[in-house]
Amino acid sequence: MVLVLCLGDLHVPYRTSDLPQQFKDILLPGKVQQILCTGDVCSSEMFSYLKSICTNVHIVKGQFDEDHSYPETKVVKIGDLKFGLVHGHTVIPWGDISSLGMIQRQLDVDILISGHTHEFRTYAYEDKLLVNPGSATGAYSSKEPSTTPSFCLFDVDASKATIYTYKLKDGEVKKEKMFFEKRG
Amino acid sequence: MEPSTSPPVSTMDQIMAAEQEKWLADAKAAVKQQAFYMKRAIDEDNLRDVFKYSSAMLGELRTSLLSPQKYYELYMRAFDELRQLEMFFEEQRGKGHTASELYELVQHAGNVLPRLYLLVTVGAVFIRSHESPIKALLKDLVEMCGGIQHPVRGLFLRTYLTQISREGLTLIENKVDEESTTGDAVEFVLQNFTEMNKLWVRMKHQGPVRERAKRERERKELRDLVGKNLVILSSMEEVDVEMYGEIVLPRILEQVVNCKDELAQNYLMDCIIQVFPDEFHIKTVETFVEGCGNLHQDTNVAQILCGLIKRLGNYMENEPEASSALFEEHQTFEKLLEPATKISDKVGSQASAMIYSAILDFAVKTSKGEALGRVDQVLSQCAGALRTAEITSQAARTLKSILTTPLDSYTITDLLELGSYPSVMQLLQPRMQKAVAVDIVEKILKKGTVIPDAKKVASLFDFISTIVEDAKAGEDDDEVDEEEIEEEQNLVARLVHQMRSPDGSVEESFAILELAKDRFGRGGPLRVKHTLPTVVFDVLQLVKRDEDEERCVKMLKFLHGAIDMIAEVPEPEKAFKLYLECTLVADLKGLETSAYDFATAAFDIYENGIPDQKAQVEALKMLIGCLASCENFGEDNYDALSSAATKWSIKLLKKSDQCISVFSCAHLFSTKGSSEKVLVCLKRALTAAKQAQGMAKSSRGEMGPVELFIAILNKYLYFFDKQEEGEDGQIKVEDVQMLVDLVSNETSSLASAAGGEASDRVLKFYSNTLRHIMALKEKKPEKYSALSLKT
Repeated sequence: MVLVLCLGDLHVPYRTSDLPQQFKDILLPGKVQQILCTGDVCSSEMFSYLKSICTNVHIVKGQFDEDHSYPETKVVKIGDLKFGLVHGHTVIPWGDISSLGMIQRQLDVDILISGHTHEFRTYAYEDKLLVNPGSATGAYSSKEPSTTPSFCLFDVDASKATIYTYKLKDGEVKKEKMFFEKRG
Repeated sequence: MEPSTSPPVSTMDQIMAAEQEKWLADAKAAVKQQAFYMKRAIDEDNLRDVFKYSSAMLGELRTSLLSPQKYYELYMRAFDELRQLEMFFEEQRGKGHTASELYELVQHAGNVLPRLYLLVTVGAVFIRSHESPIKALLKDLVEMCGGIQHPVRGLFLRTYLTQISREGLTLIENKVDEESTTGDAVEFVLQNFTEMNKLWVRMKHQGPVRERAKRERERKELRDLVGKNLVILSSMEEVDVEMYGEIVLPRILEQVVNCKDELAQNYLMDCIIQVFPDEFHIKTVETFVEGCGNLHQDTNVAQILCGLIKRLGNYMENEPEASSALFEEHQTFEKLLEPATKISDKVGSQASAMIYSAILDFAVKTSKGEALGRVDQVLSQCAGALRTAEITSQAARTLKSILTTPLDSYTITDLLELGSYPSVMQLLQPRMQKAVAVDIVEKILKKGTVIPDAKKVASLFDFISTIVEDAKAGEDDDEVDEEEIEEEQNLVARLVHQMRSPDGSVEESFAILELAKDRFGRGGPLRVKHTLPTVVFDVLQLVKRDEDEERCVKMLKFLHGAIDMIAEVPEPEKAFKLYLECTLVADLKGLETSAYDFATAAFDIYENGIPDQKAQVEALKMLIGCLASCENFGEDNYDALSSAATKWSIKLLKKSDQCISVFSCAHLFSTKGSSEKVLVCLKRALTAAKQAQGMAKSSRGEMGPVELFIAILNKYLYFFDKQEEGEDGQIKVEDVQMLVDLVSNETSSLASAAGGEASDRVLKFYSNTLRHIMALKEKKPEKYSALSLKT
């Protein structure tokens, strides 16, 4: 069993000042073994913050990241599951399921994680899963009317994963749970 | 071992200590012996012999060999014997001698020191006798003691006088003697104090210069002999606050100031603070503080005043009600602050800073409603007093604590009322100013404090100007460390989100952000690139929710100006991205002219300002993504922008980049129903992929031609799947079939060739695409029936 934190689109300092305290209280150091980050952390301070939660951070480059060492896509194998990471601003049209589907095929992954839209979404695509963890800071988006801070955790057990989603609504953390199992 | 010519210091000390012990022992033995004879004479009632032997005994006190410490031991020995002598004189008075006779008689002793000890001893009896007014006797004694000018001998003689005269003072206080008043008693103590202090100070100058340090140590051991007089004054019940303020304190201060000796001044000023009651201090604060201004330059005035303020603070804590009434009635705060400022140029920056720091603590602790105004007064006085002073590093540290005290005791919004805060900051070196500014910003962020209006925001910017604005010409700033600036400016940038109207007023929030842009503009290019984007995003949020179209246009125009500044830094890529964000919001609001302006501005930067190939490819992706996301452009404008994007895609240097960029452009046309142009884009992408195949092997990390073919096939499938029956210029199933066949051929040759990671990846992409087609066929069997996967 491996616990994986999945989050992104922090946009600190440009769009928001910090992660909500309620999330920080949950994201304590030593709890997760891997972090999958969809990018747009936007400052080295925030990256260091992620590192403080868990040193094993996989990150891809977002539209406003200035660290050129982040790759555009990344594939990480955890348990028997292959996770693909892409920020999503290069996947046109943004957030489009079919276009993300092509990336999933190209990266050959079981779960494709993308961000950019700041809207939390999980989508069963053919027999794969598309996940957008939203913005962990609830950062402003020029497209979405409003944003809800969110992230998710994957509890990976071989070819199965339990996904816990966390959303901050009216100052309270709402938690949901779903399952994914790789077929074949 | 090397031969040594002189014994080491410690041995010297040991020798001297042994000598002292010997001398003391000899002297004590002599005292004991003479005392024995004296007591025998007392038993025999032989007045003449009593005088003779007691004089001989007291003669031992004339020694100059002993250190003050040892002299004290000898004195105590003699003192014990003198008690018996006093009792003897008392008895003599009962046997027909008058006190005044005895007083006359002792004056015949040969040596001056024994004679004066005897005189003082008889004096005690004389005082008790009521034969003469006590005040006259005290006056006579204190003046006669002036005969001894040797410091140590004089000090102990006067100490004896102090001890012996206590009874007389009590008698005066109890009004036993009608002719003597408390004023006379006070006068006597003050005079004795003055003389003792003079002797004490003179000790410093006696003997060789090289032994100065040792002598000062010895002198320190004698300080309580002098201080005892102040203790006596404080214990006299008849000395009320009026007399203290009018006579006692001014007279003590006069001597303390005039002696010009730091050891005496440090000790005695502290002594005053400790021995007299709180109420006395409260009512005489001004006199005391002004007196401090006249002390010697080596005297630690700051420590003295801080001691006083601390004492008042403790009083406040122990008796909050009574003390606060007294403080207010007597304007203690004002009376501390005003003279403190007067003396600040005399005492130096460090002492001044410490004094202001203590007064600040006092103000915070003791003033309830008015604290903030008082804190500001302290800051203002402090800044004024030290403006031209040279600030030592110690003073700077104290000033920093002056600045952090209110930061800990008040909310940020209260703090911003302190108009003099920035001027105290300016006394510090830039590096320290920055540290304070960072403290302030971090506190705001930690507490989530909202800075609610333009006025408060302006004063916040004044507080932290050192990290917002460029150093003024002439100020030597530290070397520019870009990483440090980035960290600092990110902090400042986060602060922008805390500046907003709490009731959600767009007008007020915008005014705040306009002000922020203005202030950030003074920060120079290194800061602007970190701070201005935040202003841009916060204004964009306002635009997004504002209903007032006219104001939206105005805010968008403001944004244009702000982003221009970022472009001029130069930070073209950042400006480019921000223009795109503005395009999206303007489009969302249906403000097409603004949206078009922003898009054009982005295009402009793309054309002229993006430096390298790789950045261009990335920028073009963002641009296409943005345009594909816009929903409200008119056909002409949209067509112009989309065509320009396509044109640039074709112009990209690498064929593989061209290919990907062009097939992305296909999305720009599908939304507007011009499916003909979609097909043109896809075909153009195919051409680019074929050209790429004809060229040298693709470099690592980018897509090879076969991968591009598969990607194009995926795009064909994408548009084919989405298109409705009966549209013009549609993608025909044969077009898709052609791609399927092409990809099938290419991959089979790839599969037969030597494997490797790259080809594995491509083959996976292919097999996933085939599975995708099967899924499509399953979902829409009719639409895909003509598509064959076997060739």
